[in-house]
Amino acid sequence: MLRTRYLLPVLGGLLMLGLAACDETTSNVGLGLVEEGAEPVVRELTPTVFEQLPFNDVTGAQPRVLAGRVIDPLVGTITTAGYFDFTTSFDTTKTEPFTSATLRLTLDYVYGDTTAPVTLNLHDIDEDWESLGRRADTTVTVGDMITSLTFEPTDTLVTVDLPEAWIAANNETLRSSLFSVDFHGLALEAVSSEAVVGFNFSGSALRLITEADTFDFDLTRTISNIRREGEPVVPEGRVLLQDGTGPNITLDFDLDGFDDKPLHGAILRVFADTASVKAASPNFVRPLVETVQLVQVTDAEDVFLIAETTLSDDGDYRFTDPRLSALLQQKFFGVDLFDHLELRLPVDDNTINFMLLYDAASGETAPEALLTISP
Amino acid sequence: MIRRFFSPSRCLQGVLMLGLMLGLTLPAAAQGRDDGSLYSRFGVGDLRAFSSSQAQAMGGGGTALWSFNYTNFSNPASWSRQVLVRASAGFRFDGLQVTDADDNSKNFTAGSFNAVQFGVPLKANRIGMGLTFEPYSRVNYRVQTLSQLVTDPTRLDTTIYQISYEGSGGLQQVRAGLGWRAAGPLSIGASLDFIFGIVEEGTRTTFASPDFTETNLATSTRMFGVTATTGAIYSKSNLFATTDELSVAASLTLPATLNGDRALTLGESLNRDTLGAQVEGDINLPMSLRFGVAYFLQNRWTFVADVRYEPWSQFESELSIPGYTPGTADTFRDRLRLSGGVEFLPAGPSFLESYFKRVAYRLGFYYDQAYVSPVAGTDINTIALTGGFSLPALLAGTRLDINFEVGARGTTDHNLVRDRFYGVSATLNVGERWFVKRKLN
Repeated sequence: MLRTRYLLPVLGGLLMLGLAACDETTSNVGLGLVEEGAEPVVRELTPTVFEQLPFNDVTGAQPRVLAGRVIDPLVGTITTAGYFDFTTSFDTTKTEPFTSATLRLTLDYVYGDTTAPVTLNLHDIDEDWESLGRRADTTVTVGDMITSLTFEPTDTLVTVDLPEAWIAANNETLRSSLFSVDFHGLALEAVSSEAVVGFNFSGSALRLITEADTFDFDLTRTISNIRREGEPVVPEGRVLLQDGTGPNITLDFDLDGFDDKPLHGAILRVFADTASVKAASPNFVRPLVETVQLVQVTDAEDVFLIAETTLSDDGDYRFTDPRLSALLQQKFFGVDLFDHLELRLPVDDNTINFMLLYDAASGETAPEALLTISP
Repeated sequence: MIRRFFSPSRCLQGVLMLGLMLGLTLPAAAQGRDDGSLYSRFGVGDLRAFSSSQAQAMGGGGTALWSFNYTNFSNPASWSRQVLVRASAGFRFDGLQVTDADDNSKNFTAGSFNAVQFGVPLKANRIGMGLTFEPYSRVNYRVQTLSQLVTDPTRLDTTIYQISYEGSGGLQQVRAGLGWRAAGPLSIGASLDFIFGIVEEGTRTTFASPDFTETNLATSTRMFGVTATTGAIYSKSNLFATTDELSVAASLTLPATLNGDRALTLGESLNRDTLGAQVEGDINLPMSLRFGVAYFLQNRWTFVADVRYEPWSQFESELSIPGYTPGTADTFRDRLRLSGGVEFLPAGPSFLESYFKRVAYRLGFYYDQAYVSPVAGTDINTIALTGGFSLPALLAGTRLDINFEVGARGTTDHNLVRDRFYGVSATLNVGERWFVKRKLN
C-alpha cells in the first residue's frame, strides 16, 4: 500500500529530479526556424567634426614646473615660466641664522635644442598666489630678480647659490613659524633659451645651511605659465594636439540611424603623423606623445575621462574601452551624457609635447570609429 | 456535534501547500528555461492542456469523462458529478531530441508544472465547482549560431561571436465555474477563463573578445484576456449491459481577445533599457470546440475518444506574431486533435481487492495537427502514445498518478526539424469528504 505519508516526499523528490534535469545545453539544430539577421555588423564612421579646440591645460599643483623658451618651426615659439613655493617639516624657529642657500632643481624634461645652454632669471614672488586648478595662462606677479642661472639642457641637476643679500633679507622669514604665510616662493623666467625644461618635485629643494645643520625645504606648489607666440604651422591635412597650451581636438560623429541599436563595441582610432614630429634637426628633441586621453565634456563643462591609450607601433591611438561603448549606447537610446568628446593629453605630465593627427579628409589615415552593432 | 465540518486533513493540506508552491514557483522556473521545441516559437506557443491526470494518460482528451477519483477540467459539465472535495497538483519532466535534415540532433530536458486544480461538490453528484490554474501555452526554445566577425578591417582583427535566439514564457489560465446535473442524464456547465502571461523572445549576442559587450535584445509581450467555456454531457446507463454507461459530450470555449502590451528591451533582468515606445494591440484567439465519447463498462473499463477543433485560420493579431503575417499565406492553420484511450481498473470500485488490482492502468494516443505551419503547406503533426499508472493511497479517494508520453512532431523536410519527445509526470490527487455532519460524537 502506498501510504499517504510517503506521497509528498515521493512527489517532492520527483519534483527536484525534474528541476535538476533542466540543463543549459544549446544547439544550432533548427536554426532555419528562426529569423536570422541579427548578425552583428561593423559600421565605419568618419568624424563629421575633427578640429582643434583652444585649450589651456591645468598646470597648477603639478609635480613638474616648466621654464624656458623654444622656437619650433612646427608649433611656433613657446615661452614658459615656472612659479614654485617651498614647505618644510623642520622647526627652524630656534636654529642659528642661515649662512648659505642653494636652489637644487632636478631636471627631467627637455623640449628643444639640447646643445644651447639655457639661461633663466630667478625672481622672488612678493604676493600670495594659488596653484590648485590654475591653468597655463595663469600669471603671477614677480618681484625683484635674485640671480640668473645658466645650465645645459642635458643636465640632470641644476644648482644655483642664492646671493648673501637674499639670504640676509629672508633669514628671518625662512626661520619664522609663519614661513608658509610670509614666504611666497620663487619664479623662473626665460632669458636666453632654445629649450623648455621641466623640473620635477622629486629631488628638488631649497637647501639652507646653518653653522651646524642643513635643511632641505621641499617644493610644494607650482604653476607653469605657457604661452605661444604666433600661430603653429601645421602641415595640411593634420591637426595639432598639444599639451600645456593646447589645442585639444574636438570630435563628433553623425549617429543618425543608430537610434536604439544594440551596440556591442566601439573602437575609436586616430592616426598620428609621427614622421613629421620626428623630422627635426638632430639635437632638437621633441618627445613623442605617448598617452592620449578621450574625455567627455558635459554641458556644464565637467570633464570625465572615458579612456586613454598609448601610441601603437602602427602609429595610431586606438581607444577600445567599454566605457566608450556604454556612452555611445546611451546616446543611441537618446540619453546625451556629453556635450562633446575631446582628445587631450594627461594633465599630470605637464609638458608641451605635441602630436600631429591626420584629419577627417585624410582618406585611409582619417580618424574613424568602428561601431559593432546588431542591425 | 459537528466535528469535521470543513476540516481538511493533513494530506489535503499538503496538496494545497504543494499546489501553492507549484503554482507560484514553477511557472517562473519553467519560463526561465529555454530548452524545448522550436515550434513553440510560433504563434502563442506550444498549446498545453491538462484536464486531469486520468485524461492525460488516455490521450489527453476526456471531454465526456467523469470519475469518482478525479475532477475533469476538459468540460465544466463534468464538475456536476463530484462526490469528494478534490485537489490535485503535479509536474512533468520532458525530454526532447531535435533532429534536422542533416541528421544533426540535440537533446533537451526540462521540468514544468502541470496544473493546480480544485473541485468542490456543492451538492454531491448534482452541483459542483471547479477551479484550475494551468498552462495554456508554453514558449520554450533556444538555438544558437557561432560565427566570426572582422571587428577592425584595417588591422584585420577578428572575434568569435555567438548569437542565441531564445524564447521563453507562455500563457497561463485560471478557470473557475460550475457544473450542474440539470436532468438525470444531462449535465451542463460553464466556466470563466482568465488567460494571461508573458512571452519573451530574445536575441543574445556574446563575444569571445572582452572588448565587446554581450547584448540581449528582447521583445516582451504581456497578454491578458477573458473567455468562457460551456459544455454538456449526456449519459445513458445500461445501454449495452447492465453496468455500463455511455457519455456523449461537447464543450465550447469562446474566442478570446487578449490585450497585448509589447516592449523592446535591451539588457538583463532589472538592468534593462526599454527601446522605443510600448506597443499595444489585440490578439484574437479562436474558439475551441471539443466533442467526446466515453464508455464505462463494468466499473472496470473506461474508453474515451475525443475530437478537438480550433479554427486558428481565423486568428488575428494587431501585434506581429512569429508565423503570422496578416494578409499573406503566412498564417495559421486550423488545429485538429484526435485522441483516444482506455483505462483498466481490475478491482473496479472494490476497496478490498489486492493492491495491484486497485491500480488503474491506462493507455492512449493522440494525433495533433498543429496550428502553426512554419513552411506554408507543410503540416506540423504530432503523434504520441500516452499511458500511466494510478496508484491508490491509504486514504480513500487519493491517488498518485504516474504518466508517460512518447511521440514525434514535425518533419525534417523544408529545413524543418523533427522532435522526438518523451515525458514523465507525477500528479497527486487527493479527495476528501467535506461539509459532512457526523452522526456520532
